[in-house]
Amino acid sequence: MNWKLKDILMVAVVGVIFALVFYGANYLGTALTAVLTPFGYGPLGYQLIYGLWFMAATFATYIIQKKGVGIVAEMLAAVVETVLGGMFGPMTLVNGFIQGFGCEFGFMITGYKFFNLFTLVLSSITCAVISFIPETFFYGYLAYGGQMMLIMLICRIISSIIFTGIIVKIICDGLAKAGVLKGYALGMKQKMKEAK
Amino acid sequence: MEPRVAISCNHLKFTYFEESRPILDDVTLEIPEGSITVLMGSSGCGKSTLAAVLCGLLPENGGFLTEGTIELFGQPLKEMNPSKRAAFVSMMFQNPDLQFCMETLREELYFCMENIRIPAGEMKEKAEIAAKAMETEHLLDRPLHSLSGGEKQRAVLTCIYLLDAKCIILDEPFANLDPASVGDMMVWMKMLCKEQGKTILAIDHMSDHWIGTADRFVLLGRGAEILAQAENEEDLEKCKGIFKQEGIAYPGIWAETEIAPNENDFGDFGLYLKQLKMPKKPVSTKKRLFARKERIPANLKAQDSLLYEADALFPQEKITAILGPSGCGKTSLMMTLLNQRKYLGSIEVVEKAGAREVADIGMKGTFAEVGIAFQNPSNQFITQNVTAEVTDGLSRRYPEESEEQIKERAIAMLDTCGLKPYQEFSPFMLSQGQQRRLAVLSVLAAGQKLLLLDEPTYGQDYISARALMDQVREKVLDEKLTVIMVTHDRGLAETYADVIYNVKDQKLCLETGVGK
Amino acid sequence: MRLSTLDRINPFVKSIVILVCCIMMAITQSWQVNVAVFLVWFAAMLVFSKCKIKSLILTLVPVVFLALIVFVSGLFAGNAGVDSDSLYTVGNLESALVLGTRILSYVIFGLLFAFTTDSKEFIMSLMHQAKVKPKFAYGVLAAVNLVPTLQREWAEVNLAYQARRKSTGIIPFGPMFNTLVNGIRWSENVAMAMESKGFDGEGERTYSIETRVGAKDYIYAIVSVVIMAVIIVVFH
Repeated sequence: MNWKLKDILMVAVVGVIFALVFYGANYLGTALTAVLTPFGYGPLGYQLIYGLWFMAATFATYIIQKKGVGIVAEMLAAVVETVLGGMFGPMTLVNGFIQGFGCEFGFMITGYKFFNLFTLVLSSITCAVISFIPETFFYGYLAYGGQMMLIMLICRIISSIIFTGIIVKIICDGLAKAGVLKGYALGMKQKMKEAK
Repeated sequence: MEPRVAISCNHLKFTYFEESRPILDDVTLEIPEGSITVLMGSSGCGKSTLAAVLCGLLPENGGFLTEGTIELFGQPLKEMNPSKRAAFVSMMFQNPDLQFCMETLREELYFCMENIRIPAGEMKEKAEIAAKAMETEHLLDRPLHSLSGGEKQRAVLTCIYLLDAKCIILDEPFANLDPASVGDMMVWMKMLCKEQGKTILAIDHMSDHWIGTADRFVLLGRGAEILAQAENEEDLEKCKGIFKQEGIAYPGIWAETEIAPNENDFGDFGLYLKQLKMPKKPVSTKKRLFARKERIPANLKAQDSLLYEADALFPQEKITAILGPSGCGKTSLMMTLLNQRKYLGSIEVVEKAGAREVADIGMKGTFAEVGIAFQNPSNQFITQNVTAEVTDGLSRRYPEESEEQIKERAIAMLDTCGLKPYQEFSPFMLSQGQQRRLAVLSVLAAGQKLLLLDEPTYGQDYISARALMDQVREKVLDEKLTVIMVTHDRGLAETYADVIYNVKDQKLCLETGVGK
Repeated sequence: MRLSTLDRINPFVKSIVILVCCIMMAITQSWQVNVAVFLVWFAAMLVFSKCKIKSLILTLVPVVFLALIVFVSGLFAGNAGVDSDSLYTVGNLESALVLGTRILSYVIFGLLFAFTTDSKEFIMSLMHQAKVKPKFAYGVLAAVNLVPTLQREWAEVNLAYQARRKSTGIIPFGPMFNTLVNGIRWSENVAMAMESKGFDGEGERTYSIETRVGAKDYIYAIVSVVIMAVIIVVFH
């Protein structure tokens, strides 16, 4: 798509706001890990909230509803996070690309025809799965063994469906209702609904 | 010789959505070169849209220009790219926080010069010349976010000066400035117009500060239709009827606004500020995990303080207004009263039941007794439904009542402020003025006895400001509330406040009200 | 004496080199490599950069804590739902060490970047070296420079929730919504302000700073990769 400055700024500002939330979410992830450790399920701590990190991609795609938005949005969010001094530095960019592609994939296989709860959930699932693969090497998940990895993946998918799918839908629909998306596809649809 | 036409538009028709009512409906306007013109109109009349359309920012960023043409110095605007457009017209916006993309003014000036393709080698010198001309040299390398509202607007003017556009369009640039800064800005406007030959087109809902500066006032009605034009004070006087009908403030309107007089019996109850010292660097009362407990040094010096050894009494069941330049500590005082900041000296709540120190009340206790309405009303909302904003407070206040009863109460409250038709809307959907009224209603609903209002009428036209303040005053009389409000609007304060304080030399100076 | 070599490396080159190092590290699954990487680059930051040591260490404290938790959780992880006489096996200890130290080694690269790179310069180098379009580069810069404003509003929204006696929940979606509403409105305003200053996201422009890639950047790249290779060979 042809990105306008205001689209870029919208996505980048949203990225900044998400980054503010991630900052707290890091502590939450650590806390969850600590709580689950005695039960042997420590590695699930971060997986349970992992969907938070994919939100920028589906958020932007659902609002702008065009091809390629997911990858660019997640990359923009990653650059923002890196610039704000994120702990993982440039690795964030690689993760951003993979996650962005993962989200994009869900919309791609439905031919960018539908932007609704179904494609959002589908996209959350593809994102969870696709982003999991490289991380098995990067973070050494392999060390946990097959069974644990499977449970981790399932947790990640569930978290992704909740945050990246359902909550993004609720937030975006709320924003459309709040009238701030006038200039975007989702806002136009809302307006048309009201007119009827 | 007739002056050239700087901006002209012909039969403009503009809508945000294809099928809806046009925001601009057949607007034709000519602005002569080297003049200062002020466009006035009530909220939602389309004046801001008109400004953005004349700059070419709309429809590029949304909406549809279905009819009409715009010319800048005889050249069609449509054919200009942003870089070329910048040579003709620059815009200054209402919110000083949202006009920069770089960290410091120097970087912002470089950014401007990059846009108009000035070679890197010339940038330093050019930036310094512009800063010198606008007397912003001392701001060049300070982070922009640390500047005051007035300084930020000066910084924007420096950019505009540097870009050297022939026309400057201002969209309510003074809504958030204190009177001293506004006076300052007027001097610059005159200088830019008379010495530099710039054409200035300003959008405003107040006329007071433009008198003596502007060459022409244009009054706009719905759809930005031109209702009247005035060139001087007498002309303005003649237009009073239209001003009233449109609900816009004309000079001296507050002095003519009559409200029912209030009894002037100040009891001994209220908030007593004694030898209050507030540090410039705020010290939060919040307890943080792992963080060292912060303290204000006991020997806090005057130069590190906002208020220093200030005394005051904010009487119970009255409206107190606090005036003063921006950055003097008005908002910090609000935060201190809300028990968010530490202080030295004493703030005592004296009631029938006895006296208590604010710092000893504790956070929970404070929030049960004190309500606050922030400057930005959209920070206030905690639901996504207008009615729910009000019922939330009501159901806490009347726990014994049924849901229907609460809703009935809520709708009655909304009705008094003209918000009943919007009861099922998202609060964010409302206009600025409506949002502010809803924010105040939501605070009133919760039933706290002390209300803090931060700039309750900022950016509002006369009619909305009045509706809001009438409501507040009614509640003060009926429900025995105490209100403390911070404002830049002296006229409004003089009309509605029982007590007025002015912040001067780090003290609260009493202007009207309570005898000592 | 501390040098400022790392601070002066082209940010884009620096990020690419870090990525290469991370990928090399990802291929190995050895805690010795991880620890060595951490120590070597930590030392490099102390000597070859003028970053603030105190805040570096303060940032590392929670990271070490996290690494410790991941290590312990790794120890227990293999035993979930499995009856076993001992809580962990030697194999588990080894893999738990890999997991825990992996965090350290990643974060040291991240911090190396964060502590030695000026954010504006990084974005400029994305534009000049990675050929990112100006509208993306300046868009991100503008958003990042909104952070102080956003933080102020964020605090105010949270205060409003408190003042109205409503809990924000563990993940504060409510305040996030308010801030998003503000943020999206503002992004439009800022975009317009930038355009009214003549910003054209794709057309020609001049540059006040032009980041370049020079000999020192190539040397840095080669030295880093060689060190990484040596660490892997020695400790793997």
